[in-house]
Amino acid sequence: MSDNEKAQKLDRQLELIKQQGIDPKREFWSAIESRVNRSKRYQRTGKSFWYGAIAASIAITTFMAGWQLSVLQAPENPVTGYYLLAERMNAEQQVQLHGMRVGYETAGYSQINGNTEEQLTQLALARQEITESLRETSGDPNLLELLRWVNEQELKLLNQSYTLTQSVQEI
Amino acid sequence: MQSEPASEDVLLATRGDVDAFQRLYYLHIKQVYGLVLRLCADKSLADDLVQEVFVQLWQKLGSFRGDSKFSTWLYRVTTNICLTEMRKQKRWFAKLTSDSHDVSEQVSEGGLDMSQLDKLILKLPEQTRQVFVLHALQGESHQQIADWLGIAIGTSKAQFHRARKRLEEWLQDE
Repeated sequence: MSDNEKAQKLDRQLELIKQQGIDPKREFWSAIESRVNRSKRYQRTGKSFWYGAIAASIAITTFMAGWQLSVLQAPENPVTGYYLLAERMNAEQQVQLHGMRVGYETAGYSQINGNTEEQLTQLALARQEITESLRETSGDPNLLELLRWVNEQELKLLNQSYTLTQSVQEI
Repeated sequence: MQSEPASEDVLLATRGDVDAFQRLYYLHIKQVYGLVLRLCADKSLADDLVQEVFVQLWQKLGSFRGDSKFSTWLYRVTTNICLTEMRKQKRWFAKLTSDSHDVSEQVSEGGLDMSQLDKLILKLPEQTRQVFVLHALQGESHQQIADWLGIAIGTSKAQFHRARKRLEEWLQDE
């Protein structure tokens, strides 16, 4: 067979396989659909998280502005029961966060990369600001409720980050 | 190549319609799987990668602007994802030193219906095969291939020539 004939034979076969793919003989759609739906849920949760975080930021800013006005009128700000309660809630939160991280990592899970750590840092800063506000004022039950919400979001976010990573690995 | 899907399904999928995305999946799965398998020459890896490709495609659908045919965009994104994921996998590096004949046997045992030429393509050395698949089957330029694989354009051209010569010889022997 001449070089030209060899080249033509290859070209003919190439044209044939260009038209056709390869049948995988396996069904992948259900696994893909599951991951696609999970990613949709995660995106929704992410949006909800940011809406909540923005709302919390506005609430903190509003409160801080009001507090600065009240500080001018009140020379003394004794430590209140609200602050002590907040400190206790924060201590318990740290124990829960640590326990959750250790539990997941011991079980072989790893935390998802991306902006989870950034979001967790934002929440930790929010907690710090709320607690500081409670320490320096005569106390506000709404702030305590806000603190409870921030702590709750933090646990949810951390839990979700480990769960998601493991699900991806399983597939 | 595959016929272009109804543009409505592409539009619906970019808006988050999973049913439309499923229709796109069934329309393109054979072409995408063929491309992935020819690039990695490992059935088990191709099975993993093709799922990863479609999940990432779903996430990237928003970046499809309609400047090119959907299928053109799809295969380029597939190539990008596939080459990136393959670099991440340690077994990919292990394959670089393995006997390519074993790879072909592994694929054949997977029960796939492949043409004679496909079986021979899978016997080519790694980089030679990737260049050949991307240029001869996907119609990509040597410049684009060189960028993807991190090689010189001249190397891409030389690898393509090498692949053609080998395949011509092997086809003659078959």
